[in-house]
Amino acid sequence: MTFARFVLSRLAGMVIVLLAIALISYLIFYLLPANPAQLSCGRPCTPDRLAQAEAFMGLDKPWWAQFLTFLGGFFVGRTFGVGGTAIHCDAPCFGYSFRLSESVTQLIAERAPVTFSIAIGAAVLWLLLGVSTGVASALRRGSLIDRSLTTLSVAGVSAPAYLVGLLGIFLFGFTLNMVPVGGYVPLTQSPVQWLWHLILPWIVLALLNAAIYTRLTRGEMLEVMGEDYIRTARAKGLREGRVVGRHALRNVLIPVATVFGLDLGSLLGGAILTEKVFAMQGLGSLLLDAVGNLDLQVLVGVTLFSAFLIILANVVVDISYGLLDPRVKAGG
Amino acid sequence: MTAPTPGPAPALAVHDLRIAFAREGADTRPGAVGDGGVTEVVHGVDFAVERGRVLALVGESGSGKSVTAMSVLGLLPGTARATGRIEIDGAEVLGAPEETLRALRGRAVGTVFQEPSSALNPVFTVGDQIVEAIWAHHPETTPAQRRQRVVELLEAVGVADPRRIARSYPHQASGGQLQRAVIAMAISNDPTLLIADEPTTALDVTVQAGILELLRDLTRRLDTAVLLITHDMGVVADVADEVAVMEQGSIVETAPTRQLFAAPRHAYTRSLLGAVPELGVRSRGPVPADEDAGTTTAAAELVDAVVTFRGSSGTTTAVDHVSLRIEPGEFVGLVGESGSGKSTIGRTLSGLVPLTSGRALLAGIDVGTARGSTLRRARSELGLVFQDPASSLNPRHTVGRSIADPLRLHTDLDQPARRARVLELLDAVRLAPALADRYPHELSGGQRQRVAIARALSCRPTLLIADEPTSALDVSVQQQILELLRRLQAELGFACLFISHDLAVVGELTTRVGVLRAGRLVEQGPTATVLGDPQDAYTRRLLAAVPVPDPERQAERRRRWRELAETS
Amino acid sequence: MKKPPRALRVLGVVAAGLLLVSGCNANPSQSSSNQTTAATKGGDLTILTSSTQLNFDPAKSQSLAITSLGLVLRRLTSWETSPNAPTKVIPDLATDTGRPSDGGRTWTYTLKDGLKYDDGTPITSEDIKYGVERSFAPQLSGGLSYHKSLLVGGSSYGGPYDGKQLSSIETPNDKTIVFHLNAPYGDWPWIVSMGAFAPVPKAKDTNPATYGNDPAASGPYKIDKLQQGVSLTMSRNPNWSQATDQARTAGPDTITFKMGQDETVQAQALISDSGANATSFGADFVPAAQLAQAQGNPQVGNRLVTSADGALNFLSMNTQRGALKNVKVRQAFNYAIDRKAFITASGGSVSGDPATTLITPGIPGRQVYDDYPAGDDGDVAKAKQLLSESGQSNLKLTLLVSNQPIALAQAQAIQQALQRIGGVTITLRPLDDNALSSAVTQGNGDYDLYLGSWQPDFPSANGNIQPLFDSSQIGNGGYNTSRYDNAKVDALIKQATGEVDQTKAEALWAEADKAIMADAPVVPLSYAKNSFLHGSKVQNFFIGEFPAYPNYLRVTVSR
Repeated sequence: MTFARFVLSRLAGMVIVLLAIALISYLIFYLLPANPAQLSCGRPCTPDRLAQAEAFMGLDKPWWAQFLTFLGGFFVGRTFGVGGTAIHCDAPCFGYSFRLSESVTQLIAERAPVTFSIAIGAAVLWLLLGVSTGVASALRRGSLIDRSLTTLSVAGVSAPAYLVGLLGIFLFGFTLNMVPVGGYVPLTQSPVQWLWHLILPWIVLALLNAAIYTRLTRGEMLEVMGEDYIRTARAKGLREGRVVGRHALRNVLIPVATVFGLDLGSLLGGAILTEKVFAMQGLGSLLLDAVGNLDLQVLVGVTLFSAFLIILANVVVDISYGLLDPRVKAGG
Repeated sequence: MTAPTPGPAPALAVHDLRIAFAREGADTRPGAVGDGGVTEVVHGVDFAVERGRVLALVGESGSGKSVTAMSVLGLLPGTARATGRIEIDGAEVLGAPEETLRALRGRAVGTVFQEPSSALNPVFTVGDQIVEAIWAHHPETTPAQRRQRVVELLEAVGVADPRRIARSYPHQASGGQLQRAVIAMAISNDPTLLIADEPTTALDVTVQAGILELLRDLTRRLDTAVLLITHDMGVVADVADEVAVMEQGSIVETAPTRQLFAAPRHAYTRSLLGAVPELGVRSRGPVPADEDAGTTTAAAELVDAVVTFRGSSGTTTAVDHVSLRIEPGEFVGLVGESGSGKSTIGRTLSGLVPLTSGRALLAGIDVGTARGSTLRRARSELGLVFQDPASSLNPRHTVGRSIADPLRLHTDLDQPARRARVLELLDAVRLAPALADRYPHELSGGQRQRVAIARALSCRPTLLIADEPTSALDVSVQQQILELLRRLQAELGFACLFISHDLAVVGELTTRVGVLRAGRLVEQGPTATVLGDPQDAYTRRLLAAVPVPDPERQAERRRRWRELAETS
Repeated sequence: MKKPPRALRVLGVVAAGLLLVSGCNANPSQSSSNQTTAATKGGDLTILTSSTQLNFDPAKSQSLAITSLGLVLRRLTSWETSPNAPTKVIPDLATDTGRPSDGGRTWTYTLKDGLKYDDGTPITSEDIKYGVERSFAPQLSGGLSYHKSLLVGGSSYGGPYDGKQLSSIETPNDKTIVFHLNAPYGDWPWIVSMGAFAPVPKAKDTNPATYGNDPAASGPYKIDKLQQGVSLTMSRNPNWSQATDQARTAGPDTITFKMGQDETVQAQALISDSGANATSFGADFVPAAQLAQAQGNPQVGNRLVTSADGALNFLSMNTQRGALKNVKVRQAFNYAIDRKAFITASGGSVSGDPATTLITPGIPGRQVYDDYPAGDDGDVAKAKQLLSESGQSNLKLTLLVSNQPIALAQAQAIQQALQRIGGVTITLRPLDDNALSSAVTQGNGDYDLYLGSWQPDFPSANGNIQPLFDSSQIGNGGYNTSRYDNAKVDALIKQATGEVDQTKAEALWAEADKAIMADAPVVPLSYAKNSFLHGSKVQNFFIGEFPAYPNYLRVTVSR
């Protein structure tokens, strides 16, 4: 299969999965006994005012009609309401939040940099941390370092992010007053402040996630170090550092990259707890708010976007697999 | 024991080498001498190799030959302790600082390992890995010089297209090419000593002949000393100047090759030589069925069978219009090199691989079209034995349960009857009844293969398919298993399709043989005829490539093989 | 964002992005800092809130007159809150709180002189009218909507954006505005303190959807910078004049809202009192753990402000269902209730006091009474007696409750108390907040019991009684969750609503309170209290008798 065909088939699969997710989101939402129009009806809410709100939001139509309208908005845009109060959402329209008075596309564009900043920084950190500790652990198997790292990684895997985040804030924010306790500063506004505000969330997320990578790397490393080609590398007189750093690590990174890609993909879709603790308004908190406020359009839009990122991460992992491991060809 | 040699120091001299491992759990290695938490596996070994000479270190698995070789490189695992003396070019290696050892590895001592496909790192190109070996000891060279040297080296080891192979990743090259590349890497810094640890065991016989030829040639050309580690007496006869026989951590006999083959002194050496199946020995099986065989129902039959696989790089034909008939009670061999389609034929007959066209009949039943109970009945007529008994037995089931499984499926025997049958089968394969309650990991490789045979025979099959049943076993164990198969076949009268790459084994066992090449049956007929007077050029090449455990005859065969290789 | 679970309020509040919505009467107590000092000018005040969205569109906001919106937007009237006196309605943009005519059907207001927006344009009565009109537009719905059904023609009006005007609002000149109502309404002065009665200059309303991001400021502050979800900064409005404003002191030079602050982190920051936290206060209730921490530490305790009795927690009994149709059963439940256990489950005495009346403390005209004296933990004997008199036995009832942990604990306390009567089995049915409010305000009332909470939107007994017990409020989004339908009570509510004379109105409401409780459609459980934390440099941080929220308009920062 050619690379182009591979990409095309993956894209087609992606579209189908996204459609299914959108459909399921709609279905689940309409099975809920709550009426989103009521939340924007005001208080007190009279029946005619409620009907007006429902009509404006398009909730008076059957769910499948709404779903089709949603899909249509994708290609031709949408208009909510009529006359002077109408709101236009240009194609591709992923929906419009009445609560936030913004199109979902715009909301995602605003919130994604926050989540991406958290996720990418933390991911790089935990990858470095996890792989280096995993390698150290494997090379000194059974030593004190190995055993303490193994214990720590068990703790890391099982610790709740919210709690560790709070502890981090109390210790470094309030007690030591070393870092800001929360908030996000855009990179474009001040790179230094951006970094300064992100350090703690990065560290907290990295500490929690690195544990998985420590264990994975350790296991893979132990296995790879027993391979014949490691013996060959040593037999040709390479220094141990090069044997480990080039011959072993490169092979260890193949499975690590798979897990990393998927982890990063799902984190990019929103780091809900981290965002909440550190008062950062990313995709996670947007989604959380949308659920709490029955904001269907945002809910479906952000869910789709997150799903898209995860699927994208899958594709990237597949492709990078081919780059990392010459034995695997795309689509093979 | 070699006498101290006057003049320059030998390339490698080993004196009173003892190697012990710190015990991890209970080590019940035979011959192990326990001593305060350590197990000694090599007990005071002495040998020496001169430049331009090949010393073969021979022994079965666990005899300590590979550990001995690794100790020369200083690459023993951390739990091992080595004492004694190991001198390379007169310099002591044992206990030398890591940096000294590292400078020796790949420079004074080149190494060739058993499995070329795993000896090279899958994620780097072959060329890069050879470049790295040069760079490690000659960092002063320029990248262009190193690349140039790689091409020269690959040429020197007889790689046909050195530039392409240098650019290839290991999975893109064949086993023979890879082993040549590994050898190129080993000689890249003109080593004094080349350690070759079972360098041809994983290779096809025709490829093996080429590699052995190369080793011999290099020894002469580069005046390198070679320490060859092998279990194959044919290989020894082919290339070694001297032989040291190792048994359970000790060298029991050292002698020049011709002398050793002509007059083995030690009992173990004699038993090793006796266990080797020798090409050309006439089989004593039943006379091949005569022409009226077509009127009876064949035990199994392939009629114009074609099997194709669809892969990422298009369609490959694994079996190409093969017709083959196995009469009841007949012992048929199927030989061919890896990728020739011989295993696919076995799987086709057992219904595991569907035919693309043609027919596969088992006791008259078409396994391609049969369904339900008919198919089950056909399958009950079949016993299967695979290469690796460790992976074909469920590790969580007892031996007894594994043997009884087919009985549960295909018969209505009750529990006591099944138990009785299991004990009967264990007896038939010469295993103690007590083993019925053991698990596979508690058994040796030979015992496990006996269990696999017992299971295959549990339903009294019409046909037994044995797919390389002995290639994972030591030579002496291999001989026992072959003997067992032969005896059982004679007693029980089942037909047997014996799939193997080993012509000598096939020659000993079977009455009729088919030779497969690239999915095509190039020749078939009575074993004696095919092996004794091959008609097909490929069969002839194949036969010529097999080293025989007789240095005199092998020297002659080698000459013939070279001629054949040049003409074809 | 989310309310403390104890305040399981009915529908109304659930949606609100702002928690500055509604309140209840409160008599401040407990706090040493709940007092006023002379207003200091200057300084920067920070308000921490878990809310991720601040909406300053007057039409869409449910914000109370004395919280965030009030800093920027003035209305016709405002509230004067005090820790020691009932909350009063006071003139804001208008010269008085309204002049009724036509028996309370028509209300006239005159604007003060010299009122200007931040850009210097004068504020006119037309702008007020336009502000009210735009609150009818469907895209701007979501705010407090009491006026929509009171104004003549309101129910069929759809906003000014397609060129139509609401003829029941007249602006004979730039200073005068006249409202014509469907029926007499004595509490109209409270209604015009709501967001919709803030002036909106039509010229500035070019994009209604985003008007709230930077509204024309009439109050002492204007919005400088809004990063939705992150922060909002306001600075002084140079055209605001203290002389025209008796509701606001405008102490700090700037006020910054920090949004999306986790409640626990927020409380912890205020306890630490470090840096900018000293000049900050939290808009959210203090979580239980930090509440205990603050109470245990005198340094922090004096910066903790707890309101007096506020929102009414009550158990609704569906008066149109099975055995609950029987008044004796409902009365039995009123006797059996264990308020001590309920308050313990709610978080102890800091979370509330026992309730026996429908009108909450601090609302003018409230009369204290207890028709079903049950002591601290219930009178089970009396309950048994009433149940046997009712002829009902073997009751199997379902209690709808929020799935928040404290609500569940409260429901269990109720369950245990009522099951003591014998022959009563209560099954809890926990629901998500949104689903819960739909279940009780919509549909045909397929439930037996419901644990609810109510805070009026304005300090009149009207706000306590009418939404919960008028028969017009059953289903269709109304909060009459006991589905109580009594023509006599309806008439009494109508009469009280239309009474322009406040003293007479108060008496009528007190009468209604008792009349309803005689039928026992609900069991009053407790009046909830709210606790807030502020930094050491925050002054004039007090909670009036109503609502149980601090008055943002008067908070100052010490130098």
